Amino acid sequence: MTETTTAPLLSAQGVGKLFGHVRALRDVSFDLHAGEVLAVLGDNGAGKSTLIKALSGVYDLTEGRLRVRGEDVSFGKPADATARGIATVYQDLALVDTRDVAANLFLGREFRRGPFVDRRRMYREAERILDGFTIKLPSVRVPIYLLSGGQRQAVAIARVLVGGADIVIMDEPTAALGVQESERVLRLVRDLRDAGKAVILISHNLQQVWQTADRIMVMHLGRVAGIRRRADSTVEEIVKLIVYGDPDTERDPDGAPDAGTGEAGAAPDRPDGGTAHDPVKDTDRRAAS
Amino acid sequence: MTAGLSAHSAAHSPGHPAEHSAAHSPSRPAVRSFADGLGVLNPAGWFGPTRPSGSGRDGRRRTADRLLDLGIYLALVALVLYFWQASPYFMTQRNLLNVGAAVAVTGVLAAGMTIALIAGQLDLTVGGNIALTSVVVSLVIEDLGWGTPLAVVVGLAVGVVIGLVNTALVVGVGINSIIATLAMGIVIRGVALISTDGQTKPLTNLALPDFLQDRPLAIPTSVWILAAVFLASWVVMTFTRAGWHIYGVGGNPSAALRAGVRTKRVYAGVFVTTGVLAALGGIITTGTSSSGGPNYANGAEFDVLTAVLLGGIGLAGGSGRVQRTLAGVLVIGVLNNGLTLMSVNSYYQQLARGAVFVLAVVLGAVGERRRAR
Ligand SMILES: Nc1ncnc2c1ncn2[C@@H]1O[C@H](COP(=O)(O)OP(=O)(O)OP(=O)(O)O)[C@@H](O)[C@H]1O
Ligand SMILES: [Mg+2]
Repeated sequence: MTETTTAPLLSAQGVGKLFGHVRALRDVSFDLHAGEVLAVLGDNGAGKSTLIKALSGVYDLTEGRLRVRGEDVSFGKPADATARGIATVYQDLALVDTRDVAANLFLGREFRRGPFVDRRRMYREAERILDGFTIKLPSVRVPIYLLSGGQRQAVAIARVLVGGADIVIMDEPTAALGVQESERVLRLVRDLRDAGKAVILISHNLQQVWQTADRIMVMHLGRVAGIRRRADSTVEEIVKLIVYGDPDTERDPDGAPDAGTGEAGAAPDRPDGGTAHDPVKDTDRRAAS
Repeated sequence: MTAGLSAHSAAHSPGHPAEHSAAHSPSRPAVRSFADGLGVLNPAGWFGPTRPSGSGRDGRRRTADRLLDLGIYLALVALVLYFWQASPYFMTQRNLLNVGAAVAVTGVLAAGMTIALIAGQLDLTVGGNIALTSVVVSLVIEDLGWGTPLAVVVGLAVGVVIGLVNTALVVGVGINSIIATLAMGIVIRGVALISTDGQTKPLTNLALPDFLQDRPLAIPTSVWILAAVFLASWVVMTFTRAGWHIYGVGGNPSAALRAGVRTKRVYAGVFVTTGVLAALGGIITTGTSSSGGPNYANGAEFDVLTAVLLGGIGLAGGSGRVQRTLAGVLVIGVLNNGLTLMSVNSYYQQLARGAVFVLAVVLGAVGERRRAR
């Protein structure tokens, strides 16, 4: 919303990913600033999950480069991304159901006092973090399996705060939730943004994206079809981008509107006609400046 | 470093298939667990319909959950009260210490098994481990004449080696721990049989039996050991990072890995612990029977599992409490002792033990089901 003047926290330049000869991502470029929510939209198989896995160190890139706070980075494993302040709230949430909230928040980085874990400090810290959340938990001592989906999502998000990450990637955080819990989780996402985090939100739900995002990046067949400021765009424009890809590639045989079928995975398997010109970059520059 | 790399890539691969199967149908909620595809094979469905995740849960335990949590302690109290009024000998100091001494070995093994099950693993080598340790300890004392303290160290080292071999099979090769340790248990007992040619090896140097028959502060050494093992296990599992990581790895290995827990190291620690505790059981057995025997502790795994399951541990990993296992061990000890005091025919005792095992399994299933929904 507000004009960002600072250097981007995260910047992807010409990122590409090949699986064998399936080109899941090609020439993906975008910037991400502190205090904004960038929504990533796209049909099934558009490359959203592949992109966030590349950003969180699960996959290595086959092309392009990533910069974090202006520094070139390359992630060999998820811990490398974590060390750079990039945290991912996975679609499966990565919580230990049988353990309580505090144990989950601090898993792998428990506070210690002497040879023992400092339980009191962890419970106190967990309460402090979750106190600021719109989603309330009965106690930080309840095991995860007793929590609702939204409450679990809140715990997974709180884990990110414990780790001190400033770039937060969320893969479909509301997919398994009802209307009310979705609303609460999206509030939480906006709260993260207001706390100065940079958030990448993967979603299928345009309405939710509209409530939450500052900018919207649409992926189509592994490319960036366009990046729009939400305030300057319309739902129709975004839907068009999702279904047809970049208008400039519309006449391109590669960009044929085969995506609207919902048949995932099929599209990028097509024989790779690498003839396409590169209008994506222009769009990107236009939108991200 | 390379281990760390491969560990991380391994952690993420299990997530992919589930995610893809789910993500590709837009009409369905995108989060589906792998188990949803299992149909009738999904254990969550065996005990009636399960509620969809997120409905009706408010983060509070229900009364039934609390009762189930207390169940094993209530059972112990009830048994004690029953035998107390049924037999004048039961509630004597001497008899209660007998109960403790009788369950010492089972208890020490059960503490280890509890830790293994919390980590989501099973160690079925413990019976063979006892046999081999007892044989090695008595051979070292009798044939090598190294002295008892050194023999005890060698015996514990046997446990460490067995633990490391189990780790190599389960973590290194990637064999399911039930199968790997079942097979290893047979191998280990075979080694024990070969080293004494199938014979029992009696001790003529009685330092170890004397030590175990000693009663410091009027309490048998074996009961002291039992208490120490449970105290240490409880402290480690409840108050140390290692214990918290064992719970984390058992509850959700991939999440633990993504959280930076060195899961392979955790598994190694767990198998070495069960190995050493079983070796300790073997040393106690050697002392109390004044001999090492390759046929000792045949089928000990089942007594141990009964005790652990009575404690209400979840077989899925990530849950269970050492103190509850102790209660389970004591229930078995009290039951055996009480039935003997009341001169119940040993066939009926067998029946009672079987019934307790069934009860333990049922309780475990009910607990699992309550957690699963
Ligand atoms: N490990 C892989 N090996 C081969 N191909 C892959 C792999 N992962 C993804 N792909 C392919 O890359 C393309 C992009 O997939 P991706 O999962 O990133 O899409 P998505 O936008 O997340 O889709 P959805 O909305 O269904 O989650 C798909 O065609 C997919 O089949
Ligand atoms: Mg996806």
